[in-house]
Amino acid sequence: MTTLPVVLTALTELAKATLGADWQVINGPVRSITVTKERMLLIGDEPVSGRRDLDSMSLLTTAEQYTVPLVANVDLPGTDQGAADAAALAAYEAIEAAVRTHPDGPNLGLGDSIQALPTGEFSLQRQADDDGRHAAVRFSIFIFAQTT
Amino acid sequence: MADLGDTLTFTASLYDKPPEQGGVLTNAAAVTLTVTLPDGTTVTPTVTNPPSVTGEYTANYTTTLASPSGRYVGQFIFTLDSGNTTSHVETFDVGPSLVTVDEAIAHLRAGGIITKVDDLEQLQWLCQVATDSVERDLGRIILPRTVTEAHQGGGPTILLRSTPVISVTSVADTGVTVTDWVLGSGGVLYRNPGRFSYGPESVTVTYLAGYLDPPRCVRQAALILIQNLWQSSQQASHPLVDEYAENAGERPLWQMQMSPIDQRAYESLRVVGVA
Repeated sequence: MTTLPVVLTALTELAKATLGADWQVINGPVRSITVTKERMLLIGDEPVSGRRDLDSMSLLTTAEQYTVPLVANVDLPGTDQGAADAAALAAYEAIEAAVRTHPDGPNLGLGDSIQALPTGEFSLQRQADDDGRHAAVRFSIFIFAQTT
Repeated sequence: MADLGDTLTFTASLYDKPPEQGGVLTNAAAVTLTVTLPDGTTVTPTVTNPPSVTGEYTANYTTTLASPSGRYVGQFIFTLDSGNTTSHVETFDVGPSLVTVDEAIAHLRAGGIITKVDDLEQLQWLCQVATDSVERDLGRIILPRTVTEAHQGGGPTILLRSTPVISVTSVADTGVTVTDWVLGSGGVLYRNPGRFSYGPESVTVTYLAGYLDPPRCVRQAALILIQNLWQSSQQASHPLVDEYAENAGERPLWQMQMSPIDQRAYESLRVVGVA
């Protein structure tokens, strides 16, 4: 079975423990829940693409790899674009570090059959409009897992 | 939150000067509370002075199921030792709505999420707003309530303005209560036998209008409206992650969540206006 559900759950729990109370961690797209806050971390809000291959001749074990997209999104009222940028970037850096330096190793605490590391790629989107200032840092976590 | 039958607790904190200027709580030499009811009448609940906690005044007014629905405005008037006066106003919106707060929470899938008193009061307010909005959109009374209208007499029939009519409570013709009338379909009131006396607004009819069992399509419209009102009050705009942001302005948002069948059912209740 794919490790995707447990990985998404583990990322969600790790993010909740890493970010402050003013951050909302959502496992899914932004409209998967009814009430959202100004600061959100979306986990897997975009398609997760991967590949699973047999990794032994027994046809019983597989190795899968996929990339989980995340986005740290900040929407602030007012006119301070820098504040929105800083908040989104801070959340991205905190999550990236939390994944990379997990106490149990780079496996989200799920055991040695899973490896989770930030891909290193990121993008910052910024927008200013009548509602305020918005910033979103998109990044991703690469997962390699062996399953039976 | 306040419903009919609840006790409304009006509170006020009296400072000798603004707190931001270092003011401290103090008692007034005299204090009165005047509560204006939705029907325009006033009551003056007793205010304990001096209060048990310096400067913290409270007074209760208990509504009943027969109390008028609407806004209750309470105004404290404090007379200070110096002779100066100051006031504090607090309001409560009381009354039924098309859907309850619990129904709204269920629709929002927010059970266990919307729990704070302030949030629940906000949601109750939105329930009342949605009720008002739906009724005004349709041009029709949905929640049952008593209506009193004055009509010009002179003919055998009077067309009551608020439909559907549940029942007629009383009919007065030139100030005299009459009982020889018949309520027809479509809100038509017949004087039988004879006709109503001629005169401008000579006939006064008091009746109960609305739906004893509001149509579910109307309640659904109210819930969708509450959902969007709540979400817009809770959710900041998320243009960078909201995949529906580009299409948001094409239709009223609440209509986007009603199927064509729901919309036609809702529209069928709209009162046809005369241009």
